[in-house]
Amino acid sequence: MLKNNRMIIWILKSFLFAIVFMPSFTLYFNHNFNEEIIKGLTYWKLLYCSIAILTVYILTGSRVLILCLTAVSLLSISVIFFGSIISCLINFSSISNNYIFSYSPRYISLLINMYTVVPLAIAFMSILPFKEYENYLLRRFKGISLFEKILLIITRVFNHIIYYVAPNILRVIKEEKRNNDIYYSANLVEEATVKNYQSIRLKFRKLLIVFFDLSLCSICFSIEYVPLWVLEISNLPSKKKFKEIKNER
Amino acid sequence: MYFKPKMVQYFGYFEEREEAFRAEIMNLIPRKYAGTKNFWIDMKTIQKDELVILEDNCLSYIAANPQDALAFNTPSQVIRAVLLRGYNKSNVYEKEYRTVLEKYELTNNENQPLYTLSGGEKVKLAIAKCFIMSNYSKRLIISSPFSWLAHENMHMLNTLIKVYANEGKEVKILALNGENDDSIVPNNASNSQLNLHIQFENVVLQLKSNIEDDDNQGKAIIKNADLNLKSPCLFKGNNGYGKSLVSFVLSKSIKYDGNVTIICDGFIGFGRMIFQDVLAQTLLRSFSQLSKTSLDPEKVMKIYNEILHCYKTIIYDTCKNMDFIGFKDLYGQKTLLELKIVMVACRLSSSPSVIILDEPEWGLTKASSVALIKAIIKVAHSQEVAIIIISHKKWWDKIVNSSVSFQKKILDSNSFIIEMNTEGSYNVKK
Repeated sequence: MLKNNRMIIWILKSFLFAIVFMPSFTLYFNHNFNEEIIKGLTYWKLLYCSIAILTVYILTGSRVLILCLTAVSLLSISVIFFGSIISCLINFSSISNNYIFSYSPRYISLLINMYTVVPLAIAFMSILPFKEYENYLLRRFKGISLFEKILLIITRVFNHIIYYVAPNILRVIKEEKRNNDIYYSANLVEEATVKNYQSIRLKFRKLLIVFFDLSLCSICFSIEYVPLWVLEISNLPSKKKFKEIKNER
Repeated sequence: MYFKPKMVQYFGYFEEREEAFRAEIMNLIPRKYAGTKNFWIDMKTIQKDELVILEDNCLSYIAANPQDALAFNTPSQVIRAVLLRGYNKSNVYEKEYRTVLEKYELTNNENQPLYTLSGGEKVKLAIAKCFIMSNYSKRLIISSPFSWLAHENMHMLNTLIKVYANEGKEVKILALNGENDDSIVPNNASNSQLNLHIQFENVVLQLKSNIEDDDNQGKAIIKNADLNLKSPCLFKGNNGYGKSLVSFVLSKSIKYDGNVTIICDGFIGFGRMIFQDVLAQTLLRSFSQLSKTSLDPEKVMKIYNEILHCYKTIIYDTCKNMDFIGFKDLYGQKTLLELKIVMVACRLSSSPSVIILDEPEWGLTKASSVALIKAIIKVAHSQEVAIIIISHKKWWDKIVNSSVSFQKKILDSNSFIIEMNTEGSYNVKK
């Protein structure tokens, strides 16, 4: 299925990822090194997070690491930042020092967990040999089973997000970034200072709108062709039963 | 062109043509041009109706954006998947696979992700797919195949249509008015000229996704060039020769190594661009959202109205009929033409040196495209902004003041060099 050297590298990388992933699943070390730096952040958690990020860097390179950190930062904005605001608002009537002390460590702990697990998961996904597996299935004359067809559809959507949706959004953002650059260079210094306060407010509002727009369009772009792909993939020859293959022979 | 008039159905609007195409393929593509609300309604309908299997009437199709119809990530996979349905002996299968790749000049792009293919290369791949499917398909539906395919490759489309027609199978081509009319557009107005100087120094682009590792990845090298041009300028060349890549570099929408300098009428500046797939560039934002992408929406609307006024004047002069103006209230959304105008207005409001329009005629009738380009040139030149058009059409030959032809030199299976040569009296120093 894979060329030998690529196969060995893939197995080796998966093995190393599995080792680094182990503490997240077992939570064993968590109980033995629980001395806290600040509330919610233990020495072990910080060390494990550093090891995870270092592993991602060594096994997948700086490019994937940057992508992982960007993704986790975006995720943490919604989960940690907005999550804490919402729970704070819900408990607004009972807000007190006690509330802050009991909830803050939880969010700090959640943040460090996210920075550990999410990069590891994305990096692990990036090393999976999807392309080779697709190629292998499309050369197989005995047909493709229903499970494999579902896998092909999932892979296609994943590839579409990685190769089309994300790069297209990045290109559009990069292209449109120039709108802002020119706005500031075109204004006089005094005007820029006066508008500085406004611009922070404006920037925050724009950031929220952009965040919402991007989420919506990412979802739409990711699924828009799925019905057609499902149709194409379902039309691939189904896996023949052992008896049918035997009869053909 | 080989096709009988009865095969072609013409439309006045992009949206109408898309509707017709959707109807042919059992509404399996949601309408992203009709706003996000309609997009979700369509998705729900598809989900409710379950998938109607097109296998019964065995349909081959090429969508206006051919990527829509390609269910796999590389040319190799797309071709292998359709071959798998028709062949069950490995030696015949492999032989046929190689023959198709060579016939449609896809050998060098075999394992390239679809995203890194040019628009024309995607059309070629879709044609190759439909060609293999001619063994078992009963109908062929093509939506606007005349935009992205270069003249040099038009014979592939002809052959495909011929194969289906000769076997007595139904062929339907859905096109916009004048789309396949190759006649050159006369330049009635005397265009103002702007000097545009572009310099490329050691520019190298990586052709890969962010998540891929570094081995076995392709790169495009832009050969050092010093181009002295007159705006409006036309970029032309065969499919996959790197025209869009160069425009991404000029607008800095892509990461690259090296230096690019743009000088318009003596001032160093920067470039902005309108992508080939405009709908993808809108990111599904509405007209008003798009106008607000600039920090000065009032200025955007002022420029928008200026372009619109010019457009209406030009189209009325040429068609003498306001029915051809290209606006129609569909689904409470602005048309593709209006989206294109507002996107150009946004870019003009940021005072760039040059605006690059990649295949501006896509999704528009010939009359609309010509009027739009003339209007954009007039307004942009009045603000001392140069215009570059990327197109395979001969329409623009008399409208532009200079042109650059693209060449491609293949280094290995993943990498190539893009060469640019100015035509006419403009010299290239290397």
